[in-house]
Amino acid sequence: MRTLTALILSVALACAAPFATASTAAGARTVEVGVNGLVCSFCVQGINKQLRKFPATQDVLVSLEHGLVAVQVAAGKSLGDEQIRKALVDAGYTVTSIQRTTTPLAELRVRLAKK
Amino acid sequence: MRFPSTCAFVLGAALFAAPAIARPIAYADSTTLMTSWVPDAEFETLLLYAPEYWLSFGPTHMRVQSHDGRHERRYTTFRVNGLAKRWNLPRAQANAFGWASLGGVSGTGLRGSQTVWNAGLQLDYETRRVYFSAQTDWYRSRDTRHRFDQFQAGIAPYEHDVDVVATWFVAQAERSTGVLDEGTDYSLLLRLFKGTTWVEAGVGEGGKLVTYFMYTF
Repeated sequence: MRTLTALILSVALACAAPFATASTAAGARTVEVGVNGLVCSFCVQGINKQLRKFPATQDVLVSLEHGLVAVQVAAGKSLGDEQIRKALVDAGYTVTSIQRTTTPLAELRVRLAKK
Repeated sequence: MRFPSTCAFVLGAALFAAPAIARPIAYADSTTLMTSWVPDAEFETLLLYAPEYWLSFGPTHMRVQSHDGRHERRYTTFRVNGLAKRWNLPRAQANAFGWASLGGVSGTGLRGSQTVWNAGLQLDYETRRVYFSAQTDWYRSRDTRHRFDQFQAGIAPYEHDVDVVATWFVAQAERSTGVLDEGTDYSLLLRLFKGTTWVEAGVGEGGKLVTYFMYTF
């Protein structure tokens, strides 16, 4: 009986896993990028201009204090890490890290402002 | 006709009294209007288009006059700026810029309108609290030879971020050598910028007002 329960649970988890991954990916619409070289408002303007050229870009946040650029990807659209990396390199900056999160940009703004 | 040495000195002092371009390339796909104005001495304007973050070019015009208003020179050139190297650091940026321009110069003391060329180099280092810049600028025409060296050091009283006006106190030393003028001038400047607007004003030797404005669109 114990073996049967474990088997049913395993099958159930295996079936649920793809849906869980899809849900996370769909929710991870914020791309947080660590950037070196951010020192002035011209950096902000240049980066904004480059990243907003993508139709998938919904919003952009640049924090000089945290060396961070965050892109909110529009629902139903996709924007690859390499596209973002290339845009930032083409704007003249060095990318140190890229990670995808589910944190909305508005929430990230508030969080960064408190730090 | 030889240019009177007194007038040459005055013109020379006026010619290089204004602050040099802070950074000749703003960012990719941008156009920048820069002007510098020293009352009764100099007015300069540049319009530079940058297709890439490492390249900009455009026309420049500079008019300088002697303090008594009797003597004047006009420089009109086409200038190309390049970013030779950028160092992106965790909380800092350093750059090596170079530029060259070609055009015409006319006015008092010159044997007609002449071809003038210019070349220069700038190294800078900037964080959100300190700024250093060293620059050398060379001008040549049939009747003029001039070298201009400048050093700037700036300090910000606070670290600015997006949507905050950046404030800088800048000390500047300029050395001019050549046929027009020899000497070193010192200036103190207040620099403010926010977004794509940059305003700078200060006083030089003898309380002379120095102003600078830049807008990028």
